[in-house]
Amino acid sequence: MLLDVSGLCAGYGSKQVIRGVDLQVGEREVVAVLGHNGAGKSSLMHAIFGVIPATAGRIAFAGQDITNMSPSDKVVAGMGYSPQGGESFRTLSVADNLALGGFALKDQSSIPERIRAVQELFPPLRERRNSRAGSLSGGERQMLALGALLIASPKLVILDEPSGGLSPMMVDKMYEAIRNVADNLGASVLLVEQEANHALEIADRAYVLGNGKVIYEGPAQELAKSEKLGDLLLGL
Amino acid sequence: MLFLQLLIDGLASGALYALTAVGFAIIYNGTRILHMAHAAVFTCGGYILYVLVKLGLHPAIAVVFALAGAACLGVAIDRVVYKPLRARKSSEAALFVASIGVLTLLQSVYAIIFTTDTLYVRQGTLETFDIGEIRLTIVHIIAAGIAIVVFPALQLFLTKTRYGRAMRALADNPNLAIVRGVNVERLYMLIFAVGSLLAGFAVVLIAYDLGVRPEMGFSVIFVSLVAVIVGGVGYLPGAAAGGFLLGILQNLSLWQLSGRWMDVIVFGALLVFLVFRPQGIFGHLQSTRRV
Repeated sequence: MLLDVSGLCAGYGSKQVIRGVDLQVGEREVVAVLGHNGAGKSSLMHAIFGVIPATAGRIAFAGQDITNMSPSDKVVAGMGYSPQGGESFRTLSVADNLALGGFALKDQSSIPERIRAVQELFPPLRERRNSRAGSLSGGERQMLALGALLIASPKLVILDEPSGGLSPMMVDKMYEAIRNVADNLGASVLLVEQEANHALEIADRAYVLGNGKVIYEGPAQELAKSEKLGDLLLGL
Repeated sequence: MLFLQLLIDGLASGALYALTAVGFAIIYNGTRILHMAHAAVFTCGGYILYVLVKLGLHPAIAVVFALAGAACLGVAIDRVVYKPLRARKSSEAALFVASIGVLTLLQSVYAIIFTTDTLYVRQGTLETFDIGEIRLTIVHIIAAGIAIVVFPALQLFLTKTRYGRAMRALADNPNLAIVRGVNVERLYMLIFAVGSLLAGFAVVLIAYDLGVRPEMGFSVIFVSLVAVIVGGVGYLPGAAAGGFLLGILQNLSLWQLSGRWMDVIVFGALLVFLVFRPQGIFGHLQSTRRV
């Protein structure tokens, strides 16, 4: 197991939002986390990445206990996280945004080569390399968010709503790229989605969260066909 | 000719304001701290220069120590005062009050050690060079030299280096900077060092020109703050342009008005901008930082 989360609890202040979650991601696996609004999907990603502290439970990554590791150390360890909304440094150029994706790398000299590889994957990031990230379209911005993560050649990328704000055509392209990350770049993907259909098409396995707990886990195909899917997503 | 002379004087003092204003702005953009104690860091550089020159050190070596001393004091204020407040998630207002506290405290310490008199670093008059009817002093020339070297070097640092980029990233979106693996506390030390170093460049010249007093930093920092607002908060070249503009305005005012009007000019400019153009001259380029 690349990522092994067991009994994780976390919250904001005294308010507990994640109540004992077990979750695993294997090598080269795409895992989707689904659930209704407020089910705790984003909070779970925050807790795994260390933006909010874990109050109980254990997070292991590549065989190492990383429960209390700082986010910057997790980047060094090979974990990349893209917050909701495909955030970028809006006043900086696309090229600077990509370079910052490799900030935590020990070997800084390899960054230009990695940037070229990511630009091959997402050609618009080459064409618009000198534009300010804030001027990109929604699709380009999501590409930049994913592309910046890939610069650090992570073992695991955590994506919070990578299809947010995209046109249906761009959503397809984005998911194709995400599947490509797992199949061809050898990184595992843990992704959070509100909208289940697309995510289940490319995911290997899926978890459904309800009220801060896992209420379903299993193969993505099975869940996609399940009649319970609608109820699960509503938290029923 | 008087006009041209005043313009040149204005450019020289504008260059010094630009240095302190950009230093102040780098710290504010990166940390969101309205670092009024920047004035005490500035003054500290002046006293270090004074003491070392009096001890007989070569002025060039004394300048190096003054710059290093200013940078160290800036970082120390962040570590000792701001960092514990940050850890407690204090508001921007609390940090602002703390910075005024540090400024007042250090000014008092300077006055206790060195008295409130003006202490002179140089003996005799300033070296001057006459070109036609225009008189250039050594301070004009060095100010120009510093501006020509320091600003492009800073630009290169901010755009081409790993940590320079990280500083701009932190100013743009601190949460994303953390997600990218930037160690924010370590970057704060760099930000305070660079910002304080810029104040150091300005103060060594001012100290050499006009001498050192405990409260000398205060008016310079106020002009810098106005320069930042005039140039547009969040945009560093704007802060530099604001510094030059205020220096020139102040000196050109001497053409028609007495020297007592200089501060009126600066604060008049502040009011005009706050009321009519709060986004500053270059407001349209300003960062859209989320707080």
